[in-house]
Amino acid sequence: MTTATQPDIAKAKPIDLELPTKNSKRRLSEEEFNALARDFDALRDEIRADLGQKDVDYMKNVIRIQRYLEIAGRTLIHFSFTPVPFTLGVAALSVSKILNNMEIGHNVMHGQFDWTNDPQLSSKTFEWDTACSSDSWKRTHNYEHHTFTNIIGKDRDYGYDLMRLSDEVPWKPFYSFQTVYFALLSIFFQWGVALHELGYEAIRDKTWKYDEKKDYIKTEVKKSAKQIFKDYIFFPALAGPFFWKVMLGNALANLGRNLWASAVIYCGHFTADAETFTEEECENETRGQWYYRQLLGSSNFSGSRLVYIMSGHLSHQIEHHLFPDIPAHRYEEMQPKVQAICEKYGLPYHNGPFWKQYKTVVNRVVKYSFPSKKPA
Amino acid sequence: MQTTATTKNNSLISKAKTWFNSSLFNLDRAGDYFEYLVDGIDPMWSTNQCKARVLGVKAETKDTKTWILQPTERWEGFTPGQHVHFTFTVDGVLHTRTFTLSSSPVQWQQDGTFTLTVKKVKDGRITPWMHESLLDGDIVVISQAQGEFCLPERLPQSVGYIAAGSGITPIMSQLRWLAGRGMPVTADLLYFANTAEDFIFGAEITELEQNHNSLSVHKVASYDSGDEPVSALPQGPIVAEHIQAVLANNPEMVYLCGPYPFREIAKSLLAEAGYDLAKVKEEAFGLPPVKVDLDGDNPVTVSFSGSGVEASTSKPGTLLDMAEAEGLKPTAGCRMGICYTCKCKKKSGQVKNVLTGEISSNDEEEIQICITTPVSDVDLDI
Repeated sequence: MTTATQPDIAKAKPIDLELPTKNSKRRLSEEEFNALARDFDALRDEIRADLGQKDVDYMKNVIRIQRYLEIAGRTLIHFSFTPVPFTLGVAALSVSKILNNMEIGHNVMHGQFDWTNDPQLSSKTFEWDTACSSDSWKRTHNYEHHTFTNIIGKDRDYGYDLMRLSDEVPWKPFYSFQTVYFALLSIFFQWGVALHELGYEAIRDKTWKYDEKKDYIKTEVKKSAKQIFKDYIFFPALAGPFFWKVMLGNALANLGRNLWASAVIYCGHFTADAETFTEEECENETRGQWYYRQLLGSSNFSGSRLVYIMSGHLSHQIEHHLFPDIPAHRYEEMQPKVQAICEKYGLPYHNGPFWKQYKTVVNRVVKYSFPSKKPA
Repeated sequence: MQTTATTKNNSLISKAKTWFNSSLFNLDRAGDYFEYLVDGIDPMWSTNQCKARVLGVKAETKDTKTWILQPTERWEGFTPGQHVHFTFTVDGVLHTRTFTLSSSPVQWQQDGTFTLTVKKVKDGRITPWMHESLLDGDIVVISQAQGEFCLPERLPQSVGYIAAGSGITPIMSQLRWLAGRGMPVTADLLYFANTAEDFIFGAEITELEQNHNSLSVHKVASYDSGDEPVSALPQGPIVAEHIQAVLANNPEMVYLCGPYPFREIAKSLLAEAGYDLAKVKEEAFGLPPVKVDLDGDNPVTVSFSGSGVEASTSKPGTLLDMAEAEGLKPTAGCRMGICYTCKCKKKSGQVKNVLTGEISSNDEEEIQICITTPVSDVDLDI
């Protein structure tokens, strides 16, 4: 296949030499790539054939728990006059928002439950409890991030154009303060996600066009207004003289969700061993090569079942990137099978305890805020 | 002027309500937020749907069963001949099918139940499941009754009924209702079944005929009439002589219900006999058969009905490729089945998933056009 984006021979660089030494990507032969695709396809088909009532029951129960927690949380925040019930209310509301965003929203919007034909579990209609509209999320996440995962320059989730996390991105003075951006993004994560499609790097580079972003801005302003109305106007106003107490409670619940969600998401692709790819490497990629990139570019973290559910099973980021439309609560049982396939082809499987993984993310952010010793 | 102002007001109020609900609940209807909560407490409860519980199942013939169902109070009843959409949960997957009811509305008024009579379709997806797994105590979601296959408010002097197989169900609903009022019309029923064993409600219809002089029944067992012919008419597929029996009392209307090819033949025979087809009421019972071609030798036609464009090919690629080849620009993303951006409504036809090889049903449903290819004529809402 010839395309307009074929690599310019003069500009093409010896790819493998340029990669940092820690990246020891084992290239497979074409046959091995095809066999890898067959193995992963077979695993996907096996789980898909087994989907049924138990999976729907699981998701409905998570939705029930989330809604009861939200009702309990808002009630406690409203009626609390001492710190203990107030804190409990904030915790319940925060957990409700985490479940809504991670285990329910993210997974339902991936189409993981579209096979049920249930309009309440449909990727087309589901809307979540966060500032980012579901439509914008599906474009930037389901399409861009999941298709071009970890391709520098194409996956805008890689560092969110705010942070430099690889030698392949040339250092600029802007990146010196990226540890600060990292902290701010964690605190205001829902707004970072909502603004993602705006393309601030294009604004920075002065290539931004209003016409291209008009529809997005309209939808996003509407969605953000609704979220602000709910958490910072309506429920505080219901409390009358206790307006500021409820507003504070809701803000803290949102903060808890923001810190947790951002930490989970950073651990998916920014850990020390998650590898990056160049556009040239991914030209005319086969399905086997796509699986390979998803596998090498993602990393898991281990923990308890509760941590898995609270992370929307992004604890199993590798399985999620290989099979984004398989219901996420199935990733745990798929894990040993994926590991066995990795072993068969001599491919790495990145995994570690949550805090250890998170530490490597912070290290990476700090390390790459400085210019590399070797010129990139 | 006043009505326009009121409508404007109403739409403003409903817009405000939707905005309010979607900001508080991230859902357009507040009730949807509570739907799983209430059905978690009692599966018959719902904030907006009608449900019905199965109270009993009985066999009618070797491949037909009747279910007695008790709807919730939200259900508003029906007129004889109407149909209802039933949504069944089959291993977690919702499937909606439309069936006419077979009981008289009087039964529902008296004991709050109605009956559903369904023949098992060979190789079907849902009717075999119903026969096997829709049991006492099970719950189904139902719509309000709808449909025009009903008697006019002022009853005609005389009506003709033509039924084939399970096409008898809406007619049975009418006959039961008429019998309850002493059969105030002259009715001729022409009723086809495959064999003498296959007449659904056979005994009850015979009894109705014995009790009511104004009802004449003409049964035809088309393919095996057994030892004793079920009527004096020729026992075989529908012919002009059968039609004459229905027209004997100059019916003001003819009600026709059965499979699609049967209805087409019956209508042409009625027209040949000089009967005005405007006076024929039909219940669409099964769509024209879909031709599935897995080898891909015969051409398939894809209608992009949202744009009024059609494409025919004997070597179909993915539906997305076909749409783009016609100059359409459907929303799409990854082109490999992972991002679900290209999902759109298939109105009819069967498609094959090129990743899994799975063949879809013929129903209206959402499909991913980047990984599906047509195996029959397909109608897409693009």
